[in-house]
Amino acid sequence: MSGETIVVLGTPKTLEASGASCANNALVQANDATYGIVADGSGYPDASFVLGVTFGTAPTEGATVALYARPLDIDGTADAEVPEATRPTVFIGTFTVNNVTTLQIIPLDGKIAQDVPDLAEYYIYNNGTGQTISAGWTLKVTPRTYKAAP
Amino acid sequence: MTPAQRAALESLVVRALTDAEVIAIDPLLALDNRNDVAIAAVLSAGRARLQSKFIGIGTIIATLGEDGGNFLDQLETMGAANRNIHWAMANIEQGRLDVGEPATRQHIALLKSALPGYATGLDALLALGEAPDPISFNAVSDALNIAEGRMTL
Repeated sequence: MSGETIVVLGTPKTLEASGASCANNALVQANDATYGIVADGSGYPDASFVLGVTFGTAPTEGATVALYARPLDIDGTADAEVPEATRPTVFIGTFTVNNVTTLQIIPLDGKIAQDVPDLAEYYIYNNGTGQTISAGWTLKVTPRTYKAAP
Repeated sequence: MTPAQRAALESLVVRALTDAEVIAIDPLLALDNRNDVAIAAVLSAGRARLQSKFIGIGTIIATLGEDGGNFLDQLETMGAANRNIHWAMANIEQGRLDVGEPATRQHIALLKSALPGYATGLDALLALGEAPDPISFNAVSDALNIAEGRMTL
């Protein structure tokens, strides 16, 4: 059958291959790479994110690590402000953690981030897990869109 | 523990840290595995806040046990000369003595000197007017993140 909607995935990109430790209530940038939907995502508007984390001491079950984006080059080469508590732009989604000390590979809650910023750097926020994310965490993004089946 | 970390924690608990607390907290401050839940537990040990708790004859007897009745008799005797005790007895009979109220607690503490044999029981009555006052681990995290120069929202 043709014409039905199918999912198209782009080439995954690693935004952070080995991140610095992230204490409870702290914010750390995935600073290996930015993600641009045109340069990296073939123009696909949506994306799926996967976080790989390890906690030295088991975190609170069901607590979350939030994902924030800082849009770049939004006015010429001017960038948006860095996320702040009173202005946590741009919130992308959350990763729900398990209360274990082994490596956890966690997809973004809800699976898909829709209409991600055109170009952004990304940050993880240890949102009350109670424990420190060990150094070495990873963040990867896969571009995603829909099209009609041929 | 760096001076900045120590200052942050002492600012949180509004007092100097004890040597025992520093020894307990030091291993929990590893850069790559800071355990704020455990640090909060160390800082919370013994912390209490006052809470309103009205007691009467029944609570005194239940708390002091076999000595309860004799203690009340002693208060009644003392009340003949000490008008504060006399009127406190009125509150006790009505079940309206608030052991969480600071002035009442001071008078109860004075009774420990006047009636040393009931000191343990009086401490138990004072404890009824206290509730745990733990430090939240998020407050510990916020204080230490700033002290360590970590990025925060």
